[in-house]
This record gives sequence, C-alpha cells and structure tokens, in this order.
Amino acid sequence: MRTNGRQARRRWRRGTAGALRSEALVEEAAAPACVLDSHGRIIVANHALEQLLGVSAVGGLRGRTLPSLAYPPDEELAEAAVRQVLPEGLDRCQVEGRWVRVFSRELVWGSWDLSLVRDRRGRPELAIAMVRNLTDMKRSEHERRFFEFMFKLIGEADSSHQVLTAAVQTICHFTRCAMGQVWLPAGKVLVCSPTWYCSGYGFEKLHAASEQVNYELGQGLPGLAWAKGQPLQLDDIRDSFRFDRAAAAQRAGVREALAVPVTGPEGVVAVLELFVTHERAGELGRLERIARVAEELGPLVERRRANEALAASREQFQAVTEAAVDAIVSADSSGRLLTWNRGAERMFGWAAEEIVGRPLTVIIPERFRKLHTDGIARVARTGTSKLAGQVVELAGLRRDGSEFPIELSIGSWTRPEGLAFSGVLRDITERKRAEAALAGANRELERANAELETLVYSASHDLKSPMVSLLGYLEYLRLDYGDVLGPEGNRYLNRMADSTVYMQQLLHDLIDLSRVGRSGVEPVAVDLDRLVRAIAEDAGAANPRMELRVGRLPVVTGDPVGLRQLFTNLLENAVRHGGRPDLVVVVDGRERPDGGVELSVRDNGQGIPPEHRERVFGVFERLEGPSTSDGTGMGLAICRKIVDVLGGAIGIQGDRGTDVRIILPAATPARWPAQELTAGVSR
Amino acid sequence: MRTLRILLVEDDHDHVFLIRRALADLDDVAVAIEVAGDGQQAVERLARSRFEAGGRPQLILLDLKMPRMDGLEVLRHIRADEAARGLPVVVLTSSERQEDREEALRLGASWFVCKPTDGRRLRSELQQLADHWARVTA
Repeated sequence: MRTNGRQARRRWRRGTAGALRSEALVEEAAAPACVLDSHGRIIVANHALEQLLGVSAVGGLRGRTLPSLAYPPDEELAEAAVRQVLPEGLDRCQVEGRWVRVFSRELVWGSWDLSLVRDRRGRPELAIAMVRNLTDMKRSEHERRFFEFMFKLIGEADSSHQVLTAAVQTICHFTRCAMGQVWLPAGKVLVCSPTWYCSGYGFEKLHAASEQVNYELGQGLPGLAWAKGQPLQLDDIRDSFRFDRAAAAQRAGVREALAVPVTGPEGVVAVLELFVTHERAGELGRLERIARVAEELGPLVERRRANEALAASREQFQAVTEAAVDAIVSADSSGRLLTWNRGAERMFGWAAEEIVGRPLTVIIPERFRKLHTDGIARVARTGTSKLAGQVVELAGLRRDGSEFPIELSIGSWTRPEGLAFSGVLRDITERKRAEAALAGANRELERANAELETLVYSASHDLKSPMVSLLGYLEYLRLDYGDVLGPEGNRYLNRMADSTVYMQQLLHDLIDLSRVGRSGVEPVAVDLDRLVRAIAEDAGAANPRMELRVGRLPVVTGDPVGLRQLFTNLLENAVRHGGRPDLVVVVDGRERPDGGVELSVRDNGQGIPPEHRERVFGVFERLEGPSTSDGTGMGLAICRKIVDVLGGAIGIQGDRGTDVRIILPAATPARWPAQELTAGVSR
Repeated sequence: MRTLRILLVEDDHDHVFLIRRALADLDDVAVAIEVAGDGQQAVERLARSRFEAGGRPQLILLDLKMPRMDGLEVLRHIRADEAARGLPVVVLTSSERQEDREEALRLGASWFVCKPTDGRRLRSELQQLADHWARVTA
C-alpha cells in the first residue's frame, strides 16, 4: 500500500496541488476510493478499490471509466452520475449500482460517492469517488427475497409436486439458472417429472432426453446426487463421459449442470437438476445457495407428501366405508361413537351427525347394555378386548325401537387418546330367516322321508297278508281241483303262482330296503370271513359247478343282519347274472392306505357294461326284462343302502366279469387275520 | 284218533280258512278248532273256558298283528293267568322282525310257525306240532 502510494506520487508529480492532495487523500483512505480526472477516467485507485473490483495488478484500474466498470444495465446510471459532477459541476453525486469485477466477471454492489474538486479558478478539475461495498448487504437482501418468494410460492402450492415445481422456478430465477427439472425416486430408479421450468428457448430437447432415461442409485448426475445425498456440480457438461445427456445440453447452450437432493427426515424425496448457460456459468456460491434452499425444502415436501398420503387414504377409507352396505362404525375406549358410515345410517336410522359422539348403547337393546358397559370397563382396565378380531352374533336396536339380528366383527387400534374400536355390522335378518326356512324344510323333508319309508314298510307289510292268502288258495286250488282244470288250467295256475311268488319277493325286498338303517341295531364285531364262508357254502350247495373262493377278510364293526344281506345279495347276483354254470366267484379284501377296508366280490361272468354300472344300483333296476330272469331288481339298491348306512361306498369295476368293490371307512374298525387265508370254499 | 283242541287267534278270515284246511288232514290227529277274531275275544274265550270242563283248548295258535289287542298282549295275559299259564302257545308270524320274535319268546311263546308261503310247509309244521303234542300228552 505504501509502495503503491509512492509510485503514484512519483507518476503524478507534475500534477496540481489539488490533484496531489486528492491523490494523497485517496491513498490514505481505508475504504475503496479513487480519483477521476476531468474526463471521468481513473487517475489513481487505492488498494481497497482494486480488491473490490478484482484487479490483481497495481494500477490496473487506471484509465478506466465508471460506465465501463458497471454491470451493463447500470452503465447509463454510472455515466449520468459522472456527467453531472465533472462536466456539469455538481458538487456531490451518489450512484448505487452493480459493478463487474474485472477478471472473475462477478457482480458486486457498490455505492459511489462522487465529490468534485475544483481548480483555483473554480473549474471542475477532478472528482474523488469513495465507494461503499454493498455486495453483502445486497446479497443478503437478495437471498432474503429469494427465500421469501420461495416460501410464498410454496405456501400457495396445492401439492408436494407443485411445491417442487415452484422451487425449481424460483431457484432458476434467483440463481440465474436457465433450466430446472425435478427427478423423483420411483422404487429403485429416479424418473424425471414432466413439469419443468426454463427461461429462454431451446431446452425442450434436453428435457425430452431427460424424460427418456431412468437413473439407478449412483447413475448419472441425478443418481449420483441421490446416492450421495449431497449437492453436485458439473462445471462443464461437454464431457459426455461424465454427463450422458451432453449432446442435448450443448445444443441448448448449457455449460454447467447442478444436481441438488431434496432431503427430508425419511431420506431423499426428490433431486433438483439445474442447468446454467455459458454466459451465466462460473458464478461462485450458486450451488451453496441452492443447497441452502433445498435443505429447507426437504422437510416441507415430506410433510406435504405425508399429508397427501393421509388425505388419500382417508379419502379411500371414506369411499370404501361410504359405499359399504354393512354398517361400519368406530368408537373410543369409553364406547363413544367416532364414525358412522352411510350403511350404519341406513341400518339403524340414525344420521351420522345425530349419533357421532353419543355412546354405543344407543344401538344396543336394553337387555344387553349392562354386558356392553361391563365389557367397556374391562377393556379400560385390561387394555384389551375379548371380542377384538372375532365375529359374534348379536341383536341391534334401530332408531324406531325395533330389534334385528346382526353379525359383528370388531377390530381395535391405538390412538394417541387411547384404545379405539372399529366394528363392521351386518344385518343378518335375511340370513337368519333363510337358515330357519332351510332347517324347517330339512325337517319337513326328513319327516316326509321317514313317513314315506314307514308307508312303504307298512304297505308292504299289509300286502303280505293277502299275498299269503292268495298263495294258500292257489295251492289248495291245485290240490283239490287240479284234476278238473286239465293241463291248460294247471298251466294258468302255475303262472299265477309264479307271479304271486315274484310279487311276494318284491314285497320282501321292499321291506328289506325300507328297513335298512331303521332298526337302530347296535353295531357289533362281525367276522366277515366266517360270514362269507357260510353264505358261500349255501350258494355252492345250490350251484354244484360253480367255484367260490374266499380270500382274506377282516372282522369289521357293523350290523350283522345288514352285512349278511349284503354278501348274500352280491353272491346271489353273481350266480344269477353270471351267465355260465362254471362261474368262478372270488371274495376278498384288503386294507386301504387311509385305514379303511376295501372288499371285492368278483366273478368271471358276462359282466355289466360300463354305461349301466351306476344304473343297476337303482330300485327295481334290472338289465334284462322282468320275464327273462328272476330277482326283483332291488338287490343292489339294498346293498348300496346297507353300505351307505355304514358310511362306505359301493361300485362296479371289472373288464372281464363283474367286480363289485365295497369301501368301508376307517371309522369301521377292522381287524385283519394274522396270515392270509387263501383256502377257498370250492366245489 | 285223539282230538286236539286248538284256539286259533287270527283276524284274517282267509288265513283262518287256510289254516283250517291245512289242519284238516293231519295224520293221526283230529283237530277241533275254535276261532277268536282278535286278541280281546281270545282273552274272553280263555276266561270262559276255565269253567267248561273238556272245552278248554289244548293249544293256542296266535297271530301277532291284530286289531283291538295284538298277539303279544294276548301272550302277556295268558302268562299272567294262573289257569292258562301252562298252555302251549304257537305264534303265527309273517314278520321277520327279530324284535317281535324276541319279544314273543320273552313273553313265553313255545314255538313259531311262519305264515304259510305254501300249504305243504304249513301242513308239515303243524303236523310236527301235533306229533309233539301227542308225545307230550301220551
């Protein structure tokens, strides 16, 4: 500083006394100052001013004019001020404006106080300028306006999205970025939001290119900012290795790219990406300014989003509950109603505004109220509800005093104020009515069925007696008058007798059929092996050429009469419908994996075509006509009923011959012989 | 030939006729049949016969299904009656119901005869009965 002063003095030695005094004054001043000659050119500037205007070399300002130092928009202002003082002779003039630092091209705010120095004759000789640096003040004012503006916009925004859009716009405006856009995390990638801001033209392609890409964590400039959680700046986007949208950005005249994460307590909610053109590039502190704003922004966006999510879920809940046919209500732990949906209004006749805040007992019939209040008290004491998570059937009370059956399911949750309950109530009047009707119909059906069986039983029984008489008379007619009737008469007589016997057999079977499962016989252990061998012996005796083999059969628990009838019928069927005298019939059994018993009665006879295998189990079903073979067609129907009563199943299989399979359930305890008995009863 | 006095308790006229017919030509035994149309009549007839020497039935053929008083009820009466207690009672049945048979046996029936499916069988069963009676009373 001292060196500066001396050199200046030497250089301007020939100057006037006023000039010398002025130079000395300027050089001594601590504040930035300079001396202007009568043409407005700087003669001498002190070090402080050189520093303020970014001149590194001593004397670097010499010869410059004020307008040449001004930020272009403020040039005229500076020129006018100088003109007023120097040529026009105004003693003092102040000009406040923006000035451009010589090398860095940064802006500084300064207020120039020009004082005129006259020569001896009173003519304007030179001017002393004392400069006050207003940059910090202006900057902080600017920043304050930035924030004010930002929060005003945010306050006016309707959604978190609008908040971000407004932020980008404001940031661009105040930090002189040309374009800004918002990246939003969507699962594992960042996607570019469709709204963006730009000042100027030619950024559409850059935005379109951004919308085309997604960045994973750490990928691309936005992805990197997302991963690091820190603001990043790329000074030169021309490096396509570091900036993948370089082509589009370059065409838009972009030089710098900045990515600033917006971070809330829960993490990054968005990444702002901003672009700066060549003419605005290199401004110091831009990234920091943006980052400061983004810091404020994060919690705001997050809170806004949480509110939005809450509102959305509330809306959804509202929509669901309002649309529900069921009544959906909630109550606090003291049993006071909190919510009441449209379904509840319809069901109980109370409007929501009439009933919310009133105790739940309003919709509970008098006789249940004590139970309810006890329950509420218990909940208050223990903090849990017995009913929570369950479905119970109760009675509800309508506004008009009528009661109706309801089904109630209760849920509970904890609010800051304590436990609360939600209830879904369904009017089950119709269901109850239907259930009762169904039960009634079932009872009626059972009664009718029982009546029918009784009728069949007693009718068959009553028919038996005249049948006995008929047979008796036929017998004596033949005995006493057979000679008189002659051969033709006797043939008629025989046909009558055969028909009557058949009819009697039918009656007999009908009685059997209606009796199965009626007698209520206590089940006992039945040795099927012994049972089947006894039946087989009888059958074998009647059909000498037939071969009967009895395999391994268990001892089962059941009705001995029924089981005897079952195997008798099956063996008779085999003999009757086998269609060959040298028939081989095999009866055996095996254990099933499920613990049940599978029995088989199979023969090598003519078999039953698959299409008839179900039909033969019907009552009165025979494959041949009644005249072609004996039997009433009820044998298998009786068999099926017997097996049904045992809880089993019966069906016909077999490719060659007939194979009747009977499956008895595991509930029919079976005991199997120790070793397999293969010795058959054969003749 | 000895005469066997039988009280036939049967409501069905046809059955009465057929049983009479079957009993008419038994070998070695003549049969005198008195018919009671239902259980009530049978009980009254037995009560009266107590005072008629020689008129008392020696065998009772008893149907089970009858109006007014059924066969089992008649059996109960007979077994409760001091004078009639020793009478052999043969139950005529067309019923295969095990319970009815067991009940009849429990009440003291002596024998069962199935209602005739054919005359020959009825006759042979009754013949066996008569022979048995002849041996017992010989």
